[in-house]
Formats: sequence, structure tokens, C-alpha cells
Amino acid sequence: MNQRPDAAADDPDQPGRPRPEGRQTSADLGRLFQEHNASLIQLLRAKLHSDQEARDVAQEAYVRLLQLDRLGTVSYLRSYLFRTALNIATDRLRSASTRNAVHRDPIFDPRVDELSPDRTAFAEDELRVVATALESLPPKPRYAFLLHRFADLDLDEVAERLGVTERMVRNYVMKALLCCRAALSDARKKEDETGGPS
Amino acid sequence: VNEAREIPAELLEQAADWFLRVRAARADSEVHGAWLNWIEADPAHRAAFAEIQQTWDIVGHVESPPWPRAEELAIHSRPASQRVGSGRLAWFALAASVVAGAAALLLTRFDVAPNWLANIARPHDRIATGRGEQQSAILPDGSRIELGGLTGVQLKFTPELRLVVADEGEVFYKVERDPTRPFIVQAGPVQVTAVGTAFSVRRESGAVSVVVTEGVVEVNAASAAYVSSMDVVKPVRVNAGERVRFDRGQLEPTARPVHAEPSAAWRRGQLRFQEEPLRVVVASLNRYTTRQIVVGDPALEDLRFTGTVFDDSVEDWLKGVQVVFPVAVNESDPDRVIIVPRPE
Repeated sequence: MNQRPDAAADDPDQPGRPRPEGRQTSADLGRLFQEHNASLIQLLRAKLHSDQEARDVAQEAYVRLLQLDRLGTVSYLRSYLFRTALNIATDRLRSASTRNAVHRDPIFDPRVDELSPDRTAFAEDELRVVATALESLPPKPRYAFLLHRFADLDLDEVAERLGVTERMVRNYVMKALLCCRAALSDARKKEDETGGPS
Repeated sequence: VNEAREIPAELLEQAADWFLRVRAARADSEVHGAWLNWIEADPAHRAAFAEIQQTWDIVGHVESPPWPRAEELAIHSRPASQRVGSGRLAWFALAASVVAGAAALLLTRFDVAPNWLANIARPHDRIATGRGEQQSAILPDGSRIELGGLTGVQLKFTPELRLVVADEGEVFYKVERDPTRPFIVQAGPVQVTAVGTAFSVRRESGAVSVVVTEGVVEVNAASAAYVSSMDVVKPVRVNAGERVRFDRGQLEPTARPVHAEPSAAWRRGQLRFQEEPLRVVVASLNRYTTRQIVVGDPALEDLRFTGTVFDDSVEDWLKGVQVVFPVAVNESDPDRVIIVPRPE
């Protein structure tokens, strides 16, 4: 296993020439992108505020990796890609784009997303369903969830505020999220049965 | 989309759990690696995770989320000692939501080292700031003060006494210890005596609040009631982490716990309020904005506001305040913004 002919063949710069073990090329990078792009965007999406932002950050991470002079020396390309992307995301959350995010805050601009008219009408229904689901929750789980969702507090910060363990808060928030999802799912099923919003 | 709706409950739970884990600010590459293995193991995992993400997004669009009332939370709440103010947690939460997302921004944008060496004052100097400005100064005794926007103090230092006469506005004091020479802040009718300590005094439209971050101060007020009363009024002792307030001619009889910042928050472009009457909040904000805000109805003046406002995004606060309170904002006048009761 001193040579990796298959990997070498993928490398357009060095056709057929064997490379030292572990050396990465832009072709490896390309494959990596293809393989994990969906996951990376999903992960970034969970952290950031919109699909667009997630795609932008993924893109920026790719570009940064492609620009690395010594790409060949990066031993764990996959985790390096994810780390780079998450660092960019963190920076974004902390800097200029957070400012935009504040303005995009649903509290201030409920439907600022690029929703089509149809989608907006549908969303109105869904928002009612979700609001009702939230109201049905006991005060403390509801409070924990809303603090996490709307006040941008991390779970440990919520725990501190409520004077309960972080594990408890995670449980609260999870239950709330699943409760909302179940309500949405029920509403959609009903809608399918009746053939559209009533 | 249809098959996505038939995701087993267990899988959804797993997905929700992962969602919260990877979102955590302190999630490290180990967490992300494990998540990657999970989500790529099965397309159903990916679908479940997407479903949770979608739910999260939809919830975020709820316009007025049903925050629990303080009384509801109080039933099984945390220890009273940790409670904020008189326990109006729900207001706190609402106010917090108004500035949602801005906290992270603040940390990087405003957290610059203050320029302590800018000024060393002389014993009878007047130190003042313009609208929206902030300034720090070192006093002749080595004490340090920081002034918020549109605020002024007159120093009257003698060998026996360190007296600071404060205009309206907010000042943070970090006092050098000197038991032989009391340090006194005169803020209108309120007198604050410190030995070696750190505290801030906000004097705004007749109300004065004193927040102590280190040590102890004694607060006295020449209130109307005090003058007419024959009783000897004891000064109120305010310990670190406490606040006492003077309003409508009365000094509160005891100090109460407050969330005190280690130093003046406005230095970082942040104005913090805890249970402050709306008129005080508005007067404070007006020290930073060129377009003045007016409370258009006396009935609104004493609504209590808790939360953080960024001195460069008062507009956001104006939007938020309409969510928190039954008020509307009238912006038809280009020079001033009027807060009015929300029409029924």
C-alpha cells in the first residue's frame, strides 16, 4: 500500500504519477464536496438563519480550501472542510450578517423570506397551528423553548436562567419542538384529507 | 413530501436531539463528526433532520409567541435570590426577545478596550459628553469615571471631600479607596457616598437609580417626605449586585438585587434597563439619538421595561417596544418619534 494508483489517476496535474500517502489534491477536494455537500449545508442551516446563508458559507469554505497553497499537507480534509465552514458561520453570526439577521428577525419582520403568495397563505395556517401547540405546553418547557428559539440563548444559558439542569432544558426544548412538529403533521394530514385549506 | 410525514417518532426524537446538539455554540468537531456519520448513514435520518429544521423555521415565524406569564412560572420557579427584580420574568423574556440575535454582534463590535488615559481631570473640572458620545476620565485622586451620552459632571474636590455633582445622564464610578476623604456623588436630590467601590448612577427625568457592582455605598435622598418628616432617615446601604431607586420624590427604603454588570455596559454601545419606567428609558435613549423620542401619553410613562438596547439601533427598539407593550409608534413627524397607546 505504498502507492495509490487510483487516487493518482484522479489527479489531472500529475497523471499516472504515484504520490506519497495522504497527499490530497483538488480532485480529492471535489469528490469530498460532492459527497458531503448536502450534509454540510444541512449543518450550516441548523446554525444560520436561512438556506441562502448556509449555501454562501459552504461556498466560501470550498473556495478557502481550494486556495490553500499546501492543500496536500491537510491530513483530514473532511473535518478541515467542516471546521472551516463552521468557523465562517460563527464569524458571520458574530459580525455583519448578525446585524442583517437581527433585521430579519421574525419578531420584527414576520415574513421577510422570499415566500410566494401561495406559500404565505399556507404559512399563515401553519403559524396558527404552531402557536396553538406552543400554548398547550406547560409554562416552563414553553419558556425554555421560547428563550432558546427567540432570545438566542444557548441551552446552558436557558438552564441557568430557569435554575434547572441543562439536560432538563434539552428535554423541554426537544419536547416543544416535537410537539410543534406533531401539530404541523396532523394539520397537513387533515388538509390532505379535505383536499386543501378550509 | 408525503413520505416525510410518516417518520417514526423515535427517529424524529433522534433528529431533534441531534439538531439541538449541533446547534450548541460549544459543539466541537467530535460532535459534528458523529452527526455526520449519523445523517449519512440513512436517507431517513436526513429526512427526519430536515423535518425538524423545517419545524424550527416555521416556529420562528410565529409573530407573538405565547410567553408564559411571570405568575405561571413562579409556581415552580428558581430560588427567589436569583430572581430578577420583583420576579417579572416574562417581561424580561419579552424584552430579551426584542434584542434577539444582537448579543453576539455586540461582543465583537463594541468590546474595545476603553481609552483610560484620555483625560486626567483637575479638581474643579467639568466633564461632559455630547449626544451619542461616551467618555472616560481619571479623577485627580485616581478614581475613574465613565460618562454615557449627553451627560455631565462637575468636580468639586477638596482636601477633605471628593464631591461630584452630576447632571442628568448616566455615569459609572470606580472609586479609589481613601477612608479619610469620602467620595460623594450628588445626583439631584440623591446623595451617594462611597468609600472604595464601583457603582453607576443614572439620573433621568427626576428618577435616580444607583447600581453597585463592587463594595458598598450609602444612598441618601433629600426627598419632600424626608424634609417634612421629623424622623431621622437612615441612609440606604447598597451592596454589590444591588440597586436602589429614587423616583417621584421617594427613595426606596431598601436596596434590591439587580443583575449588575462588572462595568458600565454603555461603554460597549449597550444600554441596559431593568424594570425602568418607560420615561426613564426614553430619556436615556434620547441621549444617543438625534431624532428624539417622546412618550405621548402620561399613562405610558410608568410601564416597566427590562432589556438591552443598542445605542446604534434604537429603531429596532422602537419596533420591539410595540411587541412588548400595548403601544404604537407615530413617526409622522420627521423630527421626533411619539410613543402612543395602541389603538384598540
